[in-house]
Amino acid sequence: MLGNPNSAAFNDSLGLAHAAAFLGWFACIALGRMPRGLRDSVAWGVGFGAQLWAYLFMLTSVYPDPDPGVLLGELPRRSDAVGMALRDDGRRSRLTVFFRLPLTFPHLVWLALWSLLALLAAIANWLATLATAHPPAVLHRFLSAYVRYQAHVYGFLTLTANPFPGFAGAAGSYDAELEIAPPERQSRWSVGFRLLLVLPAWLLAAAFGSLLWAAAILGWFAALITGRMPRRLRNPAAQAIRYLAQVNAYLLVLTADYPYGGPCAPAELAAPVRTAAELALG
Amino acid sequence: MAPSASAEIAARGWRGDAQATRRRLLLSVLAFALAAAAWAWAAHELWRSSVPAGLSLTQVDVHRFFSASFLRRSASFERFLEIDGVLADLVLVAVLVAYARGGHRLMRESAAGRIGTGILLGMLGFALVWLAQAPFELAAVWWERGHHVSRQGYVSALVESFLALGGQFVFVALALAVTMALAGRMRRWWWLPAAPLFAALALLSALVSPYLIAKTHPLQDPVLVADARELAAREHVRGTRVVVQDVPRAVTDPNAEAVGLGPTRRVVLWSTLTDGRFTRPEIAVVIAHELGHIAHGHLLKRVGWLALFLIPATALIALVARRRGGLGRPEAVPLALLVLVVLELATLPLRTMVSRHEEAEADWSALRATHDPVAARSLFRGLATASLGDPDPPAWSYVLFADHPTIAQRIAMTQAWEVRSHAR
Repeated sequence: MLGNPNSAAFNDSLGLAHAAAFLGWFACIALGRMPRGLRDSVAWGVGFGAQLWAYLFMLTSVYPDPDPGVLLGELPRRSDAVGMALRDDGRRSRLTVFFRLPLTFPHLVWLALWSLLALLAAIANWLATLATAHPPAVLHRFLSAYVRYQAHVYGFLTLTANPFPGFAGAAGSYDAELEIAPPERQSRWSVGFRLLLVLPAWLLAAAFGSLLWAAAILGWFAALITGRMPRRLRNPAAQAIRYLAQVNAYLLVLTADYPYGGPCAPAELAAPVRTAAELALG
Repeated sequence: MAPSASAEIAARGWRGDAQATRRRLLLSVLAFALAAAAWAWAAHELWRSSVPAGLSLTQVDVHRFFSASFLRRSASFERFLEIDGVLADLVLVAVLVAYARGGHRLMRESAAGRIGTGILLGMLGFALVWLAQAPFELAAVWWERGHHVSRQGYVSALVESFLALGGQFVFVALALAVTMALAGRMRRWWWLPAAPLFAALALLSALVSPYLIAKTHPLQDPVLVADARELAAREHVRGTRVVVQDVPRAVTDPNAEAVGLGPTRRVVLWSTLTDGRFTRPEIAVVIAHELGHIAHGHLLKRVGWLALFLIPATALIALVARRRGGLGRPEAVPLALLVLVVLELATLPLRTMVSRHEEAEADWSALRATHDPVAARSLFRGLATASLGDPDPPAWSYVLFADHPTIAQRIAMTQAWEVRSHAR
């Protein structure tokens, strides 16, 4: 197992299945049914584990594929308040892949600075939404840019997308793009207890986070050798980034939509993202 | 209008244009001359030193202080590292020339807009330089390990320098963001505010740098603490803290540095200096030397020298970058990087000269504070032995690489101090 490059992804997909199953138990007790997102996450993890063991025991020569779209078939198309659109042909520059971690350092420093401001803005947003049941537009815009920028940076760092992202979190500027709905009315109860309500999502986010890093590390080697990010690693990573962004948006009171814990079909970007070279050429 | 009248008007206009051009040229020459005079005056002020002007250093016979086998070994040790360094620099320039020609193609890897793309191109330039220089770095590690000067492993050397690249990228990103923002706004005159702005950033960096040094603790030996306090009083820098930095086990050579400005100033001794290889009087000389840097404002002067370098350097970069539409455009960044590095290499002899000048002043200051030339000589011998430094390198090596006076010159200074103190 140690020598298998997919073992890390296997452990992390099982970790996701365990976390989803654990949360699903409570949901079943409370609701009398298993939420689809959690059910799909369990099926995703168990399905991949089964593929892996079958390959290991030579029951099949088909290499395990952790892409939830392949494992689960048709993924649900959702219209959550925070969704992800992906436009990527899989091509990666080996130079930027090799130096991906140091290239991300300026972004990580900038993100850390931005996080300090975002924390203050989040407190203000929480208080304002608690008072008016509606996030103020200016804070919603600022925090949306922050969540979007975070997704851009993680998309770049984990090789989910190829180009170097901008520093402003501008909407429509990146290949792995978040689509965030405008501010809507939220229940004051849900806002008041947001920190408590987000706890289950956090648990699942930790599992998605592990999955993301496993995909990124394996993807780094793959992209360095082949010049491409394998779809089977990129898609799980994109699911993880989408979920983490949904959790952040929920925590920062940008939306009342609870994070969807299962894989879902990413939207296609409506218009191609223009590269800097294209922008320079006008 | 008659043809002769229009010709006269045209001639008058031409004469007026020529006069205006001449006036502009004259003003430009005058402004340049004034700027050059101000530059020279500032350099003269920064060059001032407390080392007596008439101090003559006698030629020291290094064989009196070092064995013939050590001299042979240290010379061969340093020559390899220097040749390795020169080759690495040649490769650096070659890589940057290639990058200046074709680096703009990497713009397709960016979705970051004008400044973000410039930052990416700047970082990729340094990344390519790192790749090209890694073999030379490994060769240096191999050579140092072979001579028992370092215990650093090859993998850890590579990993550490790879991660350090990330820190370097943060500064590259900041510098390019500032420069490109200024260039976007001020076009060809961006360098005028950029040079003082970078000097101010360097000042800020000098001010906060003590807080960025990891694993430091106060000097614990009460005798050394008392010595440090006494020396700080003698050098008129009372209250300067002396701390010890625990350097990694792989580092074996002893060192110390003066860091910070004003309230943040402090002397940092590497733990390799206090590990028992050096005596109390020798460590006192080191502390006095570093206090000397603080007493004579060398950290502030370094910022001053940087500003003096930056003014012509940024002007030249701005001029060359105009070939690619100016530094406001990302495609000019690779070319600007090449110019900057070539300028840095070209001014290396000047920079080492300034550094040696300051180090000599700190040595002199230490002698005046400790009154102990014997300990100073013993320290210099010990430093050369521990780091396998060539006490008397050839002239080319001295001019290009020596940022301190040679051990022979430092010993000669102790002798000169003795002569002067006896004469009094």
